[in-house]
Amino acid sequence: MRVMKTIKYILIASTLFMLFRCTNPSPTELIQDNTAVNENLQQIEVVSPDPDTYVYSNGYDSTGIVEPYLNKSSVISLSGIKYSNFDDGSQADYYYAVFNDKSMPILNTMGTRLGFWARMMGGVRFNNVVASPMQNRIRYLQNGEVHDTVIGYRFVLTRKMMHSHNKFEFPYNSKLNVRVDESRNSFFQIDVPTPAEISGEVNASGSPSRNNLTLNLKWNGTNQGIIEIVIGVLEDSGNEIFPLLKLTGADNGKMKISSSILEKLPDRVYKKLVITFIRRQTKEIPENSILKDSYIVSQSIHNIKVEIPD
Amino acid sequence: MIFTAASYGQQSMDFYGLSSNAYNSRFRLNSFESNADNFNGSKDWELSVSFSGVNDENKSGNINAISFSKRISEHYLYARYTPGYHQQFIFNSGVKLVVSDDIDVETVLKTYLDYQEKFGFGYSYQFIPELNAGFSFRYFTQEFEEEVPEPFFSDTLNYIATKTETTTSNFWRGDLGITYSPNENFRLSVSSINLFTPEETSTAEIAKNFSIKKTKGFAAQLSLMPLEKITTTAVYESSNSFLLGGNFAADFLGGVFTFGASVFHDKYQHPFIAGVSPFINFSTELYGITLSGVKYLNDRQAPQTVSNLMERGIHNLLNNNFSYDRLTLSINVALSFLPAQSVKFIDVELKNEIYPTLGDVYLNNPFAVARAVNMTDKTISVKPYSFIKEINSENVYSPVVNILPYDTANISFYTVINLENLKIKRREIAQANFYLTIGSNSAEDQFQKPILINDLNSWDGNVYNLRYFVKRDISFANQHSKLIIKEKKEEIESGKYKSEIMNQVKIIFDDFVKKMKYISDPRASVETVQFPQETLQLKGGDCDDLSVCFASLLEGIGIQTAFVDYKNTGGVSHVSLFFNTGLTPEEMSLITNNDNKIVVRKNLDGNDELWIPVETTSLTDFETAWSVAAEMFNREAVENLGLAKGSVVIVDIN
Repeated sequence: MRVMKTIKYILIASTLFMLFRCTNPSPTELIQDNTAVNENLQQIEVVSPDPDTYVYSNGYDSTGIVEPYLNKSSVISLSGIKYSNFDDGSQADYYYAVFNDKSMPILNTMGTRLGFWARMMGGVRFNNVVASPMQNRIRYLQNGEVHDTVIGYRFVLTRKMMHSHNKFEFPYNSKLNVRVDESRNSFFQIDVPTPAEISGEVNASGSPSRNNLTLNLKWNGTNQGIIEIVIGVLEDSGNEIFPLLKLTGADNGKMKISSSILEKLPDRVYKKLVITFIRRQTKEIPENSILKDSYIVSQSIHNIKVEIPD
Repeated sequence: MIFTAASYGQQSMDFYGLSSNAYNSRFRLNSFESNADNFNGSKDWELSVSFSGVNDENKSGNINAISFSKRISEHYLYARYTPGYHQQFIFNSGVKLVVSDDIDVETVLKTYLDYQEKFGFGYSYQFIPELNAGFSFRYFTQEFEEEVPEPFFSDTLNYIATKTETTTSNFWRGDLGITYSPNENFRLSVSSINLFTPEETSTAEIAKNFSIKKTKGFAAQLSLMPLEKITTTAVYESSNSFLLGGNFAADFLGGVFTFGASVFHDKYQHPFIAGVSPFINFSTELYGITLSGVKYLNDRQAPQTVSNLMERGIHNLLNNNFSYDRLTLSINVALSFLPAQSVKFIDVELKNEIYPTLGDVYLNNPFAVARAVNMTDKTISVKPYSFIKEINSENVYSPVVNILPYDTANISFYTVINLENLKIKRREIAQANFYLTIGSNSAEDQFQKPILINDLNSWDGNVYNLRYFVKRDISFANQHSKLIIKEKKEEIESGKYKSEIMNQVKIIFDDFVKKMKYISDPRASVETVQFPQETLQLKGGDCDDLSVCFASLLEGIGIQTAFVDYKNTGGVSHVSLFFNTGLTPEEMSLITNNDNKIVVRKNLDGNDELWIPVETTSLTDFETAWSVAAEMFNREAVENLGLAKGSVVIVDIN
């Protein structure tokens, strides 16, 4: 009996020993392969990190390029643009080319670079339609005030301008010829592929007051490549779109923007949201003597003004 | 019955393995997973602790479960705390935050999933020793933490931070189970799976995607003991998962050593046989130690995907697609405050050797009587049973005996002889095993004693028991007698006597003696009797062989017979035969005018009938055998007052 008691005590002591001899198991790490988990959201980017320096609405409503400036010698942008729920117009194509002189940065008084001086060229044609050289006007903020300035030239062609020329529709899912003449005997010509036309749809559910506002986005997905969604707001003027966030996801036709993202938008902008769908193709080319380093992009853009329920 | 085997199906995963059997079920060697009815052979208080080592990245070890149980008569209570029932996942949500291209600040959002079974409790009730039922409730927590973007907008800076959103979706799981076990060789259990799952409602998408699956179903478990100390178990779950396994128990160092293994197919896992679970257990009266393991047959270290988790889901926390190989050491300790043993053998007295042919004798007369003592301060009901491998096909239970506190009592053991499966050919010494139980199938005490098992032809010398030899070949005798009657139909009809029975008996007897020779029994320590068919085949025998055979021929065609036992006449015992003519004393003239040749006996209705003595060893003819027998009966039973003194006894066969 004494032996049994001893064994009993040994067993109880072993039990207590085991109690203090524990290591927690590590979590099992899983490989993310399921877009349903994050509602097809792959990346979120703040597109207006310095609102006290740059005016991000510069040209955004028409180009979809939200960066305040691009650190490239040549920027060629070809955009087929649609609007839904806007007061003026439903379609606007916009083509432009800017040729930065990177040796001439433009700085504000704080020393922050606002861009580069844009040099003049012999001419630019889009599908053989001549673009007009115009002042490359930028706006910036200094001491809380908006300032306008001109930093060189940009070549622009819009649908409106084309009424007086050979009008052409933006050639979706095709290609568009760009010719840049540096001088009479020196030019550069390239065919830029264009993306399929994008058509988006936004359905809002929930409400800001209950902190459960959700935007369900749909579009004609191609299941190839990615798509960008820009959440912006209409400025008080009602014409310019101020971009806030850029969301990136697979071009699969759907994305959900949850309340955790939307509820932090400034109160004043809630009812003036613009959701911009952007399907983009960039053309990579080697550096050359005319364009030097370049950023060439064609894109289909659909801006949708959203009525947010109370 | 308390025998409770564990099962390892998809839902029925149990960390004890299949280590439970009828020999070590003093301890609870299973848990809710495989024993939903929850009843167990524990005596009083029991503590069990299990420690698991998991072959995950960290080779972690943790307390798997701690449980307490308490048996109160037919009631059984069980509670357990399960820190080891814990599974966590982490994955990249697939969302990257970019604050600024210039400063290249990127953050990848993560998601954490945490599942735990915190605790559980159960109750069960034993309605009768063969039937018990119970329920269990278990509490699960689920915590899902998602890192989500939190944009921040101001006049001077726009930024995205991250914050953690936590969603909980805790729930209870309740199940019912019932077990039927008519004997230790057979056990059938049926239990529900996810019968009740009340939960905290969560509308969060993550809870919908990743919550533990709570599909309702049932599990059926069958345990059989085809051979002594070998238990086989099969479990089927309505999800089409199953388990097959078995264990072998052996007495070892004063305890029971059990080992075995199981394999299981899980509908939600690959390959078809998802894993193997070996186990060993050593149990004594005071403690039990079990070492069990699970080895999965696919590579559990291979990377797994979020889609896999979403599609297949988690159906239980111990055994799923994401479980690692595991080794579990479980210790059960009896914390009983009751005496470890309630009843104990003092001695067992064997009343007789076993004569297999006399089977029914042991149903009415104990073959052994034990002296047992109640070691408690309460009156106990002792249910005894015995088992002799050579003659029994299963345990043979004897009547319950109540023993007063600290008192002793005689306990009779009866037995049933299974002639069809008799395992002996000649006389041999066997081991008789005696057991005492209190309310459960688990033996409180056991005793073993050698006992002589005779062969089939052995006879205990009691003429009363010759009836078993007569009846053994009764159908053969029936055919044999009918054939003779058919062949000699005319002879019977034109017979000497005006009684058909007399003529039939005469014809059968004359045919019988014509073939027979008197052959004495061999000199041996035990008397033997031939069965009727053997006597006819051997064409001879001694007085009891011939009497048994002829009695069988008459009984086979419905003629009543009786043995006349002449005890020790002239130093030699002798057996002769009577048969009933069915005639009344008034009809005596139909067969004889000599009243010394007949015996008048009352039938069950109280009416007199004429019986005729026949000496089967008088191998001449019927009339001579009749005369010889009548003369002997008159001399020994009447003139020498044998009937009055008891030296002559008439024993009816029916």
